[in-house]
Amino acid sequence: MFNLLSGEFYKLKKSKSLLVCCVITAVFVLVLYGMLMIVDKVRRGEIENGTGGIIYVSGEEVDENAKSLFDEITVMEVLRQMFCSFGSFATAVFAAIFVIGEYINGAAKNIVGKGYARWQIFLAKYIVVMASAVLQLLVLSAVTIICGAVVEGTEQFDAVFWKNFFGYIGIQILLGMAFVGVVSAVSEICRNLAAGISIGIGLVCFSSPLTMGMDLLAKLLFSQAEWKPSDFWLLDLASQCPVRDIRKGFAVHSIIVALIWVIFAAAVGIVHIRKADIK
Amino acid sequence: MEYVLRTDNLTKAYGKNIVVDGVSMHVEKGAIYGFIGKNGAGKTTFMRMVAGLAAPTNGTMELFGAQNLERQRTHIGCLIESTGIYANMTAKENMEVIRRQLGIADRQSIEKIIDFVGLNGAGKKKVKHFSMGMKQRLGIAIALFRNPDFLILDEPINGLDPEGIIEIREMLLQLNREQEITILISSHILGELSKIATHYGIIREGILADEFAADTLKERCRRCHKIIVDNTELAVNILEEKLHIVNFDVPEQNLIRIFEKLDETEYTNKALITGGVNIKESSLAGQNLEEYFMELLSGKK
Repeated sequence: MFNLLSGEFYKLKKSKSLLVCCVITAVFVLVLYGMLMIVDKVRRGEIENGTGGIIYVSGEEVDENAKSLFDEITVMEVLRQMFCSFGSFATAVFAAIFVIGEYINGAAKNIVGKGYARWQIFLAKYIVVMASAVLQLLVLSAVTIICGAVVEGTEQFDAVFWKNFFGYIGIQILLGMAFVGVVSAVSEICRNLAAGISIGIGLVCFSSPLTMGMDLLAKLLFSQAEWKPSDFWLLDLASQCPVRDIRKGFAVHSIIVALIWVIFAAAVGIVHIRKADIK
Repeated sequence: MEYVLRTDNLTKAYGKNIVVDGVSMHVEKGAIYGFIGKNGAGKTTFMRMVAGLAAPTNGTMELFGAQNLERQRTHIGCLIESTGIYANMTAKENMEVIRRQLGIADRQSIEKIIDFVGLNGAGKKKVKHFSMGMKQRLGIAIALFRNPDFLILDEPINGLDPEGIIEIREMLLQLNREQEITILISSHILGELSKIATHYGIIREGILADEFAADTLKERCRRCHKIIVDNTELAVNILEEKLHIVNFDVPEQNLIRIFEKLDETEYTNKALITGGVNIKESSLAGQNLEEYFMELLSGKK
């Protein structure tokens, strides 16, 4: 197993796709902050059009003394926005590429049937994909903090901030790891890059509206129940996670749900790889 | 007789489609077994089952005389269909992945194997820039990495130029002679296969139609004057005493095959008739390899 992990981490190290996903994630954080800065300046009439006039939003008054947008939108808010949107997207795309790539380029044939059980082969890849998600999400967090420090200043970075920050990203990374585990299992089953990436993106974009519908259904069928389906879906928990003062109950619930999905997805992937032919 | 691979009624079906149908193959130790069949005949599927990439639907298999296939497969190297390589890595980086995965401690082994397959000039060139021949060599290098005793190669010379084909052929012969590696190789290029194979297996629509040694093939392809007579003893007497023909055989009653004086068949026939032998059939038989295989593949034999 150690040998398999060594090989997988080596592939990860050499993977251009991981670098591209990390860079794009960082770029999106920069773009988001850039957009926020422009909106803030437009609201306060600080952007000129090159002919002496100022750019403003039609129907809105320009107020030079208006509060900065960044008084409302803190670093944690930007972090939440990125984790719940592009963060999941980028990690899902990379997971699909990394898992399915083995089957497309035929490299899976080099290791299957060479003395390792198939479940070990899948598990090694599964673990490394989750490690890659951790890396990507850490990059996202670091770039957000740096941009936040540059744009908003460092006054907000007190002890309370760091406590909230590490608590928040801890839960988000755990949920993110579990989510890429699900995408890995789906990728292992479909083994087609277009399908894998599409399903990954589909899960990011459409799973939450789906769980909303399931919540309504559950309310109709089980009106007395205190739980609802969205309480057990990773992306819903990620979006529900508060950026400050995270309750212990929520944290424990998120950890348990993440673990269950990690185990479930691993089991599904292992069952599939044991039965399916390697082409 | 020691067999590296022995299958018994090995079958693979995808739903109702039976791709490999009851194949019982015997690959002797030290042989180069040429596996021949048309596209879609089941060669690749069979090889994938042997390599552990596909599970048989039915039948059994023995590798190196044992049925604990997982353990025995550590002694196999294979190159089946596409070479499993990472296009954005160099040859050495690809080998490094395999080295780590297989737990081979010796880092120098990469240099040795790269040198053996003739890729030491590739340097930092990424595999996506390799020629077809270079990719095939890398695939063979990967297959050879753990010093296998049994090599399974699925059309390894496809897409190669003549020089590349010769180099691969020489490499395989060297591996077989010097390291006693048994090789199961499939190819459409019959002429090339006939230069190295010691045994042949013909698969047709999933069924192993025939299995024979290279010597038997030569025998079957020999050109001869085939005569069907009513009196074999008298005919043999005439051939020996009157025509002084010694190179002939009688494979079955009333059938004589003469392997000399093939341009004097008229004279031979006349002498037999004059001697009182009735000739029911007289023809020149025998084929070149390609013709023989084509008949086998099409089911005429």
